[in-house]
Amino acid sequence: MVPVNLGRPNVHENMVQISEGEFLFDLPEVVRAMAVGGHSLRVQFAPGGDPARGWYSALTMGAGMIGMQRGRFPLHGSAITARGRAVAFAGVSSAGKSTLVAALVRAGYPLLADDLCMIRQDEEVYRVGSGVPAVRLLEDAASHLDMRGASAGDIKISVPLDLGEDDVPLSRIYALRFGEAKESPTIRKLSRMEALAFIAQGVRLPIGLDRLPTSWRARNFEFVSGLARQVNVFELSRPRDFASFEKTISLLIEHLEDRRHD
Amino acid sequence: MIDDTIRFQQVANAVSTDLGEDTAVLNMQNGAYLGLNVTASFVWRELEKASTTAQLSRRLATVFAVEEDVCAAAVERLLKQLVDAGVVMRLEAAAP
Repeated sequence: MVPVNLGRPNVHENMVQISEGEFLFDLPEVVRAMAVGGHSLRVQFAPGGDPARGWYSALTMGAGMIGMQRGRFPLHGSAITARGRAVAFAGVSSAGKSTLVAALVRAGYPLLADDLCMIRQDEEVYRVGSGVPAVRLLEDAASHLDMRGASAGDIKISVPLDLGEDDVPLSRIYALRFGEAKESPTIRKLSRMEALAFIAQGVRLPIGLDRLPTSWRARNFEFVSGLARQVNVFELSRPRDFASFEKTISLLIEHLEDRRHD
Repeated sequence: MIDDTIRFQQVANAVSTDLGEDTAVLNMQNGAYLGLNVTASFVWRELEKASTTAQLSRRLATVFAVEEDVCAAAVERLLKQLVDAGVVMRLEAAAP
């Protein structure tokens, strides 16, 4: 059984409670999950809840919670490998992370992770671990990419794909945003300060970095500022519809292959 | 008129990191981040030791070759932001 409350949490708000070694996440009517000591995850599904949604929430939030307990940074993003380096595409839900990554996999880039990039620091290098061998796509995206899969239990489809290498050095992050319908896709490099702000907001947890326990703040600050110094962050802006999707992918591939941006 | 009896200094609960010419500052008490440009970063570093607005303005004017009164207005605005953000504290003048 997963407890409803932790004994004396340092943080207790909405769906989250955090104590020294425990991290409790409660999504009402779906699932309750508790990460303990960075090594175990206990899950309890709500009676009558959707099991697929429960599993997905438990595993993504659970991985994020355990990663954070281990001193890793769970970035809300999907990633491929390009020229032996990890490239992450990050943004809020429905920013198009999985769709872009699926299109790049179709273009020959190996999949590294979908929806959650677990980043660890190895001295001056930041590395991304591999995720599950699948991407979750909305039906229109799967149809546009001519990819098929099974229902993911919500409005998405889970498309199985092969994974590439594990534990790959991270070289770039693309911050995803949608521009106006008629605009051409553009890529611009963010300043280190803009990069820091973007990465700090991109944590894949049900709570922001600023709400985590006080004792974690200096460590997290050091981690995200180190990432902002070491990794180039670009903003990719493109229309939301699929009319210029191929143009976006062409621009992105050209940018990915240009070593001047490393 | 600048009150030159008040000194300012970084609080112990603030940590900062260099991002090229800019600086990011974290208030560990409330988790808030603050971004400082090149001139604000200079002032931030000077605030490791207690300083008055006039002292900070003079140093800034010397290093960046700007009129001291122009610097003073900017330094006052910056100090207010830093105090409001909880990363700098005001130190009242010691009794004579």
